[in-house]
Amino acid sequence: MTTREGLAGVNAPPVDDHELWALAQRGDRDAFTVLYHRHADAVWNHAYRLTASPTTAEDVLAATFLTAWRRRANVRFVAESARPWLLAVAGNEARTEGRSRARFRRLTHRVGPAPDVADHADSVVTSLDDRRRLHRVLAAIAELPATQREAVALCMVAELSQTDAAQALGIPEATLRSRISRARARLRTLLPEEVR
Amino acid sequence: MNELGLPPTRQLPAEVRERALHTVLSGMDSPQRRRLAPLLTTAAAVVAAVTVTTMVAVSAPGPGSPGAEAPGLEQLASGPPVMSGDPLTDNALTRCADAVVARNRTADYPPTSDWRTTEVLLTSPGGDTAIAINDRFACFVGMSNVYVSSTRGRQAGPVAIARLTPAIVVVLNPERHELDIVPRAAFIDPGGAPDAPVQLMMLGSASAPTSNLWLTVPGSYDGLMPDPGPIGVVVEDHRPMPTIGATTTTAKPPGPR
Repeated sequence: MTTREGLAGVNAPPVDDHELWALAQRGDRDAFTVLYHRHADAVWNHAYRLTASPTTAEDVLAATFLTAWRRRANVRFVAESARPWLLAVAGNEARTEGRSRARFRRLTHRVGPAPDVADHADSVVTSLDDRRRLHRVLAAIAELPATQREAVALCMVAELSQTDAAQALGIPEATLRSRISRARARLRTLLPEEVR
Repeated sequence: MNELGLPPTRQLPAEVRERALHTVLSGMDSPQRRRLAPLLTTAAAVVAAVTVTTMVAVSAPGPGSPGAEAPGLEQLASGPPVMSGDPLTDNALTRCADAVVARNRTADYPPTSDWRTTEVLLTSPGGDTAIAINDRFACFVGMSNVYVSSTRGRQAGPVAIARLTPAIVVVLNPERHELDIVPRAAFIDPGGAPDAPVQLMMLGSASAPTSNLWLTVPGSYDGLMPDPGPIGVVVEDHRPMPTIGATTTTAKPPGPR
């Protein structure tokens, strides 16, 4: 199957995410592929902002949709779109990637340096200033408690609405607002130039 | 720029979109697998460096010998385990079941005919493989040894700690509690979800104790990690490894990146 085939490839009328998800739950890979193309940009951008690495973002993108496929039987999203849930999954995948890579760095520190391989994708994706800023923001977000990190990732990094983010996290909107408020206050001290 | 001063979103490059989708489509039928070959290479080296004196040899012919292709499934009292179609995983699962039968320990495990690989925890280029079986216990298949953890381990609140190899401990977490272990520097954690039902911890050395590790399962357990006890089953098994296939859940298709 080419990757653009399936529902999208036969000029089928647009269907909403719920319909596509229901088809995917019955094993329809074409429907799942349509979902992928619909949300891949957002998931990849979110992953990139959370990892500051285009290469890792690509891995997170694939891992997010694989997780979605494997969990499709047990997942029923309540928002209009699958995107909030996918972004929440991407956040988890990015954290897992980050942990693995951090431990790998510690291991390689123990066993000696690895060959210096340039990340070619880096050079075409973003400027050095952007990456520096991203690293600074990510370091600050990492200082937050886990619940605030999740909220910040969805609302301030992925720029989801608070309603969608609360639904994706399965918490009341008021709780989300409270977490964002506390996180914003903390971030103001950590990132005085970025958060005003 | 948004509130955090993050750079604007960008269009996903077409080749990245296609490559990632290819990875997704090719991974849909595979058990979950992690990409930690370098870690496992180190772990395998630690394991290989340890002499285990209680091994029992599986009477398997060497490569090229008559009958070398028969993995000995006929020995299994309850039948062969459930195959996934992935040669590496299936080879590992078969050898794990063989190991339990060879040690006459079938009573301590679910019937082998019910065994299925629920997650590939680690793989290495040499073919060393660690798998989770039925989300209940783990098995490590190396170049010359097969190790199977117990299904019970030593209880620590709602989770249990079991030794898989001299240098690898598993956390059995059937209720999928999110847990944390400190200090992280004391072991090499291959990563994965903090609430996975079977999690590996590769200790820094074969004799490293776990008693200096602090385990926290929020709301349930907050204390020193118990001693994981002995390895469940160890057998010497020199059967050849299958070659690792090109398809893993994260393998990239050929082509420039």
